[in-house]
Formats: sequence, C-alpha cells, structure tokens
Amino acid sequence: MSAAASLPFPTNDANLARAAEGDHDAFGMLIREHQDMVFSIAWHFLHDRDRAEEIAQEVFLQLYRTLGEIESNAHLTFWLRRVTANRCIDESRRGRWRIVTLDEANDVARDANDSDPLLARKLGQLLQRLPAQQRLAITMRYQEGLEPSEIGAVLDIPLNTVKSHLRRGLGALREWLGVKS
Amino acid sequence: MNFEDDLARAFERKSAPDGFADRVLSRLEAPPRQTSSLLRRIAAAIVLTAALGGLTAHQIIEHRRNEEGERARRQLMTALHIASAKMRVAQRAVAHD
Repeated sequence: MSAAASLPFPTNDANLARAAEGDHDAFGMLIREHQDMVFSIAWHFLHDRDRAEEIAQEVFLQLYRTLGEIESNAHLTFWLRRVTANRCIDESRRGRWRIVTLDEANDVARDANDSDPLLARKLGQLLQRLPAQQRLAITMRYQEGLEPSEIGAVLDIPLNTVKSHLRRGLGALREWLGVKS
Repeated sequence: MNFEDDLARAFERKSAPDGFADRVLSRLEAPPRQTSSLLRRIAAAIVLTAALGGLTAHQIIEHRRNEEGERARRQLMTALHIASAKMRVAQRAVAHD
C-alpha cells in the first residue's frame, strides 16, 4: 500500500544535495513532490484547510533549515511524516484545532450507511473525535499505507501501542458508524 | 463496500492548495520576521519592569512596616515610663499616709 511509489516528481539524492546547498529550484521540486503528503496528514488530523496549510508550510520551512541532515529521499519522507505528526500533536495540545462536538458527530454517524457516497467524508469527520495518537496512527495506516512497525518508527512509539491505537480507533469508528466487525 | 475500502477512500491524499510551494519559497526569500523577536523583547521588558516594580513596592511596604513597628515600640516605652512614674507617685503618697 505504498503511496510514495506513484509520486509524479521522483526526488533523487542529487536534487536533495542541490536543495541543501541553497538551490531554491531544487527545494521547490522537493516541496512539490511531498506537499500533498504533508498537507494531507495535517488536513486529516485537523480537518481545517487553513491550519493544515499553515502546518505544512512550517514543516517545509523547518525542512529547509535541516536539509543538511537529510541523508536520502527515504530519510526525507520519514522525516516529513514524523515532523508533520509532531506538529499536529503540538497543535492539538495548544487546543487550536476545531473540536467536533458530540452532537455534531452523532448527527454525522446517524446519517451514515454502507451505500452512502459521503461515508468517506463522514469517516474523516468522525476521526476528529479520536485521541491525537489514534488519529495519527489511522492516518499513517490508511493515507500513507504504512505497516504498524513503520507507524511506530514515525510516531516514535512501541509496536504494541500502535496496534492498540489502531484497534481502539477503528473500533470506535465502527461503533459510531454502526458497522459490524 | 467494506470498511477497509471506506477507510482507504476517506484517507486518500488531498491535493495541497494551489500555489503552496510558491508560498513556502516566498517565505524563504522574505527577510527574517522581526515581529516575533520584537514582541519577545517587549514581553521581557514588561516582565522585568513588573518584577522590579513588585520588588520596590515590597521594599517600600516592608520599610513602612518597620517604621510603624518602631513608632509603636517607642509609644509603648513612653506609656510604660508614664505608668511607672505615676505608680511611684502613688506609692509615695501611700507611704506618707
């Protein structure tokens, strides 16, 4: 389930080196290659387009200052996922993200059924009710297609904790949507 | 449609907003933001002023308390002297009788 395989701008390490030397065109290519991934992680976490863009911009600005430490394209992808996740958690600790009320989430869940074409959107909205770590674990699993061990590496948490987050998070989503296991 | 497929659809990558990369690059080229540094300095100055002001006020209050205490002590001593003198006068009067 690797989403990275179909990227339209395959970065090579030479491009990475040019960007690290201050070549803005090369850095622009790096941004364009990874912007959807970074923006989407933040968007799924916050469900707020403006804040997701704000976080994504900050991630790339931080990347620019850290480029000298990035060793390869694989390292770059790992770094971007981790830093984006950390920034999302920081954002949630500041309490600036939009809170979906219980009533609002219940309204969404009440309308949901298997034939609803908007189910995906509703799932995204219900995700906002989950704790931050569960939300990130599910986003990394289904947006990025990562295995639990990879999620553990990105979020810097043990494998069993990742499995627990996924089990609990998905269980809650199933329950709210009335989906049988 | 099963739940896993729904999840995969729900978590598809979204496209970053148009012009995203250009906006990041323009922030790289922009001069360093002074606002946050200036705000930090102003905040530090306010905190320092408040701390110094608080310390000074505390010292003034403490000084006044000490003065009041000293004044009260002197008044008490005077009152004791007066009481003592009156007591002696009374004792002498009793002795004469």
